[in-house]
Amino acid sequence: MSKHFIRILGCLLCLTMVASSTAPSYSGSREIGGYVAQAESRFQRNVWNFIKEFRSPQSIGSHSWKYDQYYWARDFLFEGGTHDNYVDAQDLVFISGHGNSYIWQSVQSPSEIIDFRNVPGYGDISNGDDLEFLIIESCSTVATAPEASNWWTPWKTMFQGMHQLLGFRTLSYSDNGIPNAFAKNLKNNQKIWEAWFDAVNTERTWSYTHTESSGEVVPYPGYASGIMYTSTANDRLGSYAADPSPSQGFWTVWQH
Amino acid sequence: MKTRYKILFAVLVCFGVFSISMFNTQYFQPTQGEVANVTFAEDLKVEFQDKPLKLFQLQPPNKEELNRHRGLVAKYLPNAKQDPSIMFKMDARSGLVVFNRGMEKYNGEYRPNLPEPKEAADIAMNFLKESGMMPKDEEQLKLIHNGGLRAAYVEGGKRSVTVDKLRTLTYGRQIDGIPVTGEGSKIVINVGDNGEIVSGILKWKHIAGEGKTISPRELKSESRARAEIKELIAKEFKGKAEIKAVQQLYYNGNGRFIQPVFAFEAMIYTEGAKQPIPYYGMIPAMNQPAELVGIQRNLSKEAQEYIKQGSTKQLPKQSDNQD
Repeated sequence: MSKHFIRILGCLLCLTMVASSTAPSYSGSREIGGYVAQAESRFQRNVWNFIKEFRSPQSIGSHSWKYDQYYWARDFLFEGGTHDNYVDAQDLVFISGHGNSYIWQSVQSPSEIIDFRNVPGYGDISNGDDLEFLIIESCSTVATAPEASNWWTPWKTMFQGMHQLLGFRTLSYSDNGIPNAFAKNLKNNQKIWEAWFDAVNTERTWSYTHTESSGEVVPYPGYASGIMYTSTANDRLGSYAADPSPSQGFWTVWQH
Repeated sequence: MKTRYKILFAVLVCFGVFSISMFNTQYFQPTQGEVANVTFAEDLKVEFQDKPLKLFQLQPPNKEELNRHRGLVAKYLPNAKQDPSIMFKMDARSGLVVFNRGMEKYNGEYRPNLPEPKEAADIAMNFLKESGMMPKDEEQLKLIHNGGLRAAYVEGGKRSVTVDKLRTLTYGRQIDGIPVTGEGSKIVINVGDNGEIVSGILKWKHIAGEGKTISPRELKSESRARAEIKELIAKEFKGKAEIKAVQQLYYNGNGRFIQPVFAFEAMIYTEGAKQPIPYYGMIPAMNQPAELVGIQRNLSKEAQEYIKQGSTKQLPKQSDNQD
């Protein structure tokens, strides 16, 4: 072969190597996933503002955390046989989109809804998967004791080794500093649910235009809520409890 | 020659396929709606402020000022190993101080003796004054919410037992009686057992000087504000939308200014949705805003470049099965 041809071939190989080196590569001993509802642009800002804090491996206590997945949300990321390639292949997942009690809208139009009462069990116990912490930045998804007297029952299917679920039990306003502050609190090795509640308290946006049916002007409250086991309430990214058995007692915490 | 070009062609095809797979980033593009589908409620009146509006430049507290707050938690820090909640954090750039004197005893079934909400508000106010956390511009401080933190556990697998853990007092800002919306300008105090101060958040920058009065010519007209709100909603949502309220307020979004905005609430009716989505947003009230507000703040290029589309193809389990 001529030298000219070998040079062209060499250039192409170099280009290939450059392409592969600029593509993100994400592997770490603890993995973080971020899924963005296919809806308005703020949801992408919310998720990115959280996971960007974990672009490089973050040593926190005895663990190293790095973001591994960053996807447009679809139902199959959470359900069916593919969930263990996505949500349940990560140790911590942060998602943002519209929601209501127990549900979250992965795609706005045509509407695609995840009902967390019916998803496969997340975590190690039922099928040896990964998920420990799920954070849902949406309105009302993490319904708990004020919303239902048997507040733990709807979440029992999902908790199969998963440690904590965090989010909001009321309307909430996003596109503010909550995801950034939450990520920074976690990197400071704060207790996970306290890191979430503190971030909400620090960055919550109060509005003055919302009028209830009673005529009272109420700022969108954005009350945080969390569901966990008693034994996993002290979890931090740097160290957390062994997987709880499903028979352990549930614990919930919320703002009012 | 022919073989040479066949190899070259094959390499080019492989490179093309590889490149597409590596840069397979963004399939979903939000579909924009139409401005014609965004309407104002028939009885809607834009609520203007009857006082002259100002633009305020903010001054973060200096490090010395923030350092003084270390005393809030100093005597508790030696116990931090036993109680991981104990902490002190400050950020001079944003003027943020966060402290926690310890939550360990509030875990589980513990039932603290909390003061009544009114008493908690008095305790928090006294604490702000005595601890030096009270802002210099005290008259701007406004109690927005008197709530708290509750927890519940399941007894015998059947019965839920609720416990009040903390009273939470959240203060915002009002200037000349005009509320400041956004995520800046806030103080949060958590009051616990027998009225003890458990934790707090101070995010408050002082106003430098008197502020610059904004002339009417520098402010958007009602028709321009209405048009911009409609455009903003149409850009974000494909469905129909009805704007229920529009109000002139001040805004502080963790930035360097407090500036006037038009805040609005709309109900969005998207295709196939059973319920409308309430949507709160804002646009700057000034023709030349001091800084971008809310949704107008940009999404970074990386956020757009790195996002991927999943596949329904089942892959071998990636689980590393770590607790």
